[in-house]
Amino acid sequence: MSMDVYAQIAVKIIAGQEAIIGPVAVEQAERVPDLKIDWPNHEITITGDKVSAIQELIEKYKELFGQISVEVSKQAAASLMEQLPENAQPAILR
Amino acid sequence: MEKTEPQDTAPKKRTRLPFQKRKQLEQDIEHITAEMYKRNQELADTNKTLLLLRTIDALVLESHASVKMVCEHISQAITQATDYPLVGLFTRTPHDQDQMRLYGFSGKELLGGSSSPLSRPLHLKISDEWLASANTSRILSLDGMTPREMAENLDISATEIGRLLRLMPLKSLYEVKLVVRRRVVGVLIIGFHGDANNISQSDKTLIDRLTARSRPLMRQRTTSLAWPATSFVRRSQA
Repeated sequence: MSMDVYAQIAVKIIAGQEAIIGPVAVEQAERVPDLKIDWPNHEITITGDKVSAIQELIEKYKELFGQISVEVSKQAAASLMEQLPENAQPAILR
Repeated sequence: MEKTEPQDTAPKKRTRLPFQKRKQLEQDIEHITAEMYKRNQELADTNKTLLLLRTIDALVLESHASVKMVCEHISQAITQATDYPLVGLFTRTPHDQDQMRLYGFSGKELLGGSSSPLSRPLHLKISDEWLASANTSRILSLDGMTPREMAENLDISATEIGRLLRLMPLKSLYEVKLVVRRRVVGVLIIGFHGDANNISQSDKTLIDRLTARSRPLMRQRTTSLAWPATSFVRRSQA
């Protein structure tokens, strides 16, 4: 299955957080209503607004771990952000 | 006579104290959690670096393949373990004293692709002043550079550079010299999609460590070919 850029960004962010906090990263991501996660296959489908889903995902980690987790998410998503025009990028990742 | 507590202040104190304690506790937990997250992040970075260094060690020390093959394997290992869009490893050629040849080349966008994006091997001219300088590394911002300027030291046409940049829209490069016994025997180049200012200290540390670990390969296989760094100075002055 090929994922769109936003879904790939979500995968990168969760994987980046998982390297630091372990399975809690996936548990937190599963609390974002618009993300349908198949983590064993590293596949994600975004059902609603893609930008808000990414923002909400990053906010979940920020609530628990603070601003430093936002920086980790930014770093994880950096390589894919170039593929999005500036007005389509989630503000929190800019 | 019975002692009486002042009745107006005591209840206020009793309600304020638990509230203050709770707030303090929340702040402490927040601080501890952020601190633990930071430490875990450092550990994750260290683990990633160690894993990559072990891979490079194995490639350098256990392989009997040619320099070209080992360089290719090293650049592929770095690309796969990191998010760097481009990894290139230039080393000396036995035939030409004036340039280094790109032996290892790997790009994130090119992984799994069957053909090289280059029509012929890239060569780095050693007349580049940086190679003669004392700085072991440098950051190049590609934003303000024209393909013609980029092509200047690479012995390649500006058209081909333009084609490469369309394939990999890089904005900056981090370059580190591989120095063996005070001689420059190679250059590791990492490309970034982001601006030069956004290259993090952790990336620089990782790349510096990777370069240090690739040195034994150069020492083993290129020592007899290496040239004195001073020769760069003479060339660039001339």
